[in-house]
Formats: sequence, C-alpha cells, structure tokens
Amino acid sequence: MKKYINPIGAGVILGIALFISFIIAGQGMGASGAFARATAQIAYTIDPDFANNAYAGKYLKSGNALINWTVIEVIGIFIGGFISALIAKRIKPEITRAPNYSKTKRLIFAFLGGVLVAIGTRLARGCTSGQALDGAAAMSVGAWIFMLAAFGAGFLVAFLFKNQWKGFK
Amino acid sequence: MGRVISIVGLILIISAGVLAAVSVDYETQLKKQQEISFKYIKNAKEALEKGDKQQAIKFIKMAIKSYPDNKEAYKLLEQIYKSESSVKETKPLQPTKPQKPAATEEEEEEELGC
Amino acid sequence: MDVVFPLYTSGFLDSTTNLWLALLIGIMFGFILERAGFSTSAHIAPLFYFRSTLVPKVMVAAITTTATLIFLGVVFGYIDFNNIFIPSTYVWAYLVGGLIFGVGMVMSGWCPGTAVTGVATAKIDAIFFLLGLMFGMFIYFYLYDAYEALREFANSANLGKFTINKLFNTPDLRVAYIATLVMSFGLLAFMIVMKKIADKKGDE
Repeated sequence: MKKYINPIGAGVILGIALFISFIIAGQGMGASGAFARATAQIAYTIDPDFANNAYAGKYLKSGNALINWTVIEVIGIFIGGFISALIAKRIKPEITRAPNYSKTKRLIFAFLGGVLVAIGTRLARGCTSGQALDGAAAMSVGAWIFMLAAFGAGFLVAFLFKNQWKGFK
Repeated sequence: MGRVISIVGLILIISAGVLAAVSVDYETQLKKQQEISFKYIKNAKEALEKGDKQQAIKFIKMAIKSYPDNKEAYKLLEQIYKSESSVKETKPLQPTKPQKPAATEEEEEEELGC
Repeated sequence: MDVVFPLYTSGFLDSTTNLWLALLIGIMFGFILERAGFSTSAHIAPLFYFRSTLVPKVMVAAITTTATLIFLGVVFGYIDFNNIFIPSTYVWAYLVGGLIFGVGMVMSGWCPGTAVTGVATAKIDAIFFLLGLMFGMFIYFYLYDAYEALREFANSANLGKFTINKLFNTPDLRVAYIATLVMSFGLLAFMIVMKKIADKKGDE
C-alpha cells in the first residue's frame, strides 16, 4: 500500500482541479445530483408515470435524465478513483468498521445514512462537493449555512455511532 | 518534504489573492466587467458575420448582464431584431432590458447544479 | 475571438465537448479524492470525533485555492462571474438539509462523492450507502410530489445567487473573498484546536 499524499497538497491540487471545472463548465464538481438523476431514470423506466413527479419530472423533461454533466462527471470520479487505487494497490473488498463491530449493523447504518444524506442533499441542492466545496469556493453564503449545519449536526450526534469507528485513527 | 511544499504553495496562492484584494479597488472590478462586456459584443459581431443570430443574441445578453449600460449592446440587439422582422415580415420584437433574471433562466440554472 | 471564461456558459464551447470534458474533470476529481485518502470512511468518520483533521485540511486548502483563482480571474477580467454557477441560497432548506445531511454522514461515514471512490476501491459499505442514497432520493421525490408543505418549505427564503459580499450590502467581490479566507481558516483552526483537546483527553 502506498502512502496517501499530504492533505494540504491534496487540497491545493483539488482546488486547481475545481478551478479548471469552473472555468470550463461554469460549475464545480458535484456528486449527489447524479444519483438523483439515476434514481429518477430508474423510477421512470419502471413506471413512466414518474415523468409527472413534481421533483423528478424536471430531470426527465429532456428525455434521458442521465445525459447530464454531473452524471458523466461522476462516472469520471469512479474511473479516477479506480485508477488511483489500482496504482496504489488499495483495492480490497472490505466493510470499513471498527474491529469486532457487527457487519450487518454497519451495513444497515451505511444504508440508512445514505437515505438521510439523500434527503439532505435534495433540500440543500447539493452535497459536500456540489454545495459545500463548490459553493464556498464560489464565495456563496448558502454553502456555509449548509456546511456549518452539517458539521454541527455531525458533532452533536457523533456519540451515537461511536462504536462503529472505535479503534480508528 | 511534501508537507512543506504544500503549505508554501498554498501560502503563495493565497498571497497572490490577498495582494490583488489590497491593490484592486471596486472601480477596477467594474472596469474589467465592462471589458468583458465588450468582448461579448465583439464575439456577437463575429457570430453575426457567420450568420449565427441565435449565438449573437446570447452574447449580447451576457454583455448586458455584465454591463447593463452598454449602449452598443442595445444598438446591436435592435439591429438584429429589425433585420429579422424585415426578412420574416413578422412583428418586431422589442429589445427589452432584462432588469431581473427571468423565471425560465432561473430554472435553467437550477438544472446545471449538483 | 476574445474568449471569456467559463468557456461553456459563456458560449465558447458546445455542449457535447463540455460533456466529454466532464469525464476528464471527474477523473481528476476521483483520482485526487482517492490520493487524499477519501476512499475509506475510516478517514472521514474520525472528523466528527476530532480525531483527524484530514477532511477540513483538504477542504479548506481546496476552497481557498479555488476562491483565490476565481477571484484573480474576475479582477483581471478573464472570468465572467455572472456565468459561474452558484446554487441559489434557500436559507431554511439549507439549514435543515445540512442538519439531516450531517447526521447521515456520521451514521454512514460517507458522502456521495467519496462513496463513489469507495465503490471504486471495493468498499461494501460504500455500495450500501449509495443504495441508501438512491432509496432516499426516491423517498424525497415521493414526499416532494405528495406534500405541498414540503415544496413550500424547500423553496422558501430564496435569496438567489447570494455571495458573501451581498450579506454586507456591497457588490465588491473583495469582501466575499476575504470573508471566505477568514471563514475557511477559522474552521480549520477550530478543528485543529479541537483535535489537540481530544488528543489530550486521549480516551480511545
């Protein structure tokens, strides 16, 4: 396993990449939007009536919800992450959890956490990347409201999930 | 080693920003915005020469957005609409000054995001 | 042709090319996230226990770097700030959305972007997170469609494209830039101090 790079250095390079994204596409890098669109597309395939949904309808208006900047960019994230992990030999099937912590419980929490994150992103129009990172970099007030609320809530309820991560550095 | 380079790099970038913030006042910012506006006008004219009216109108709208008092932009817009109406013999469209972003524009922006 | 940035939203790039470039931008993003160690929740969750300053370090360095470059681009007249996409600020929806998001993040140890790199490195919990994410999206679509109250709440208190300088009633972008620096490094300093305190306490 290779060592990870210095966080500040990673941040500076990430910042430059984000800047490139801004000056090419006019928007920063996102993630949650792609999953919202994927969900809308799947629901639409199962039930075409879904095109009338008040929220998902706007994704489906243009035909295929998946032909979209953020969706393609997220495919890129996967490829980029895979290449990096391949080079660094970090691809290893595992369930990240504290030693001895129940696997089932960990996976249930991962799933339920995902549900909450999804609802949070829809209300906040973005996630840690699309809202917090991009918004703050573009000097938006909303990004800070979101970021401070998210961190604050995280700190407040962290004790509930302590056992999942016990023993991690 | 990597740590030192990283921190120095970040400090250098931010110093450049702070230096700019100290030396560039608001008037200069406005002037730069006007320059951008005239860049759009130039591009609009080039698009017109190529016969791409739609693109030209897009450029002019952005020119007005970055410099709402750009007279050249309104003149050019009027020209386009006039020539359009004489060709198609339809009702001339009124070049209106976009005071606030229209609702449709807002929606379009929402689409871009995460 | 006098090019204005951003290329796509200023009309200098067609949408097909823009979509192809999105793939490249995504690859860069994913690569860096994985390099920084964001492909495992073991590096993200400790943030909430003040055990690690990795996340705030990367975020603050990225935010300040990008904000600086954008600011320079704007004041030197290369970037049209009007064409930089900034999501409209919906105060209450962002606050509540952020709170829910934070709970979900500490519960799962992931956020959407990092989970994608997590899946790329075969983390099973990341797969479950993304499944939950899509299920949550579906729930939200359903609730949004069914309840007028949610639609109203989600779209209330819209301040539009609200950069920090507008909070101070000035169009001067310098204010927003300096405020961004202060907020970012304030956050980082807070996290570093909290970690020092947590380290001193030293229980697990």
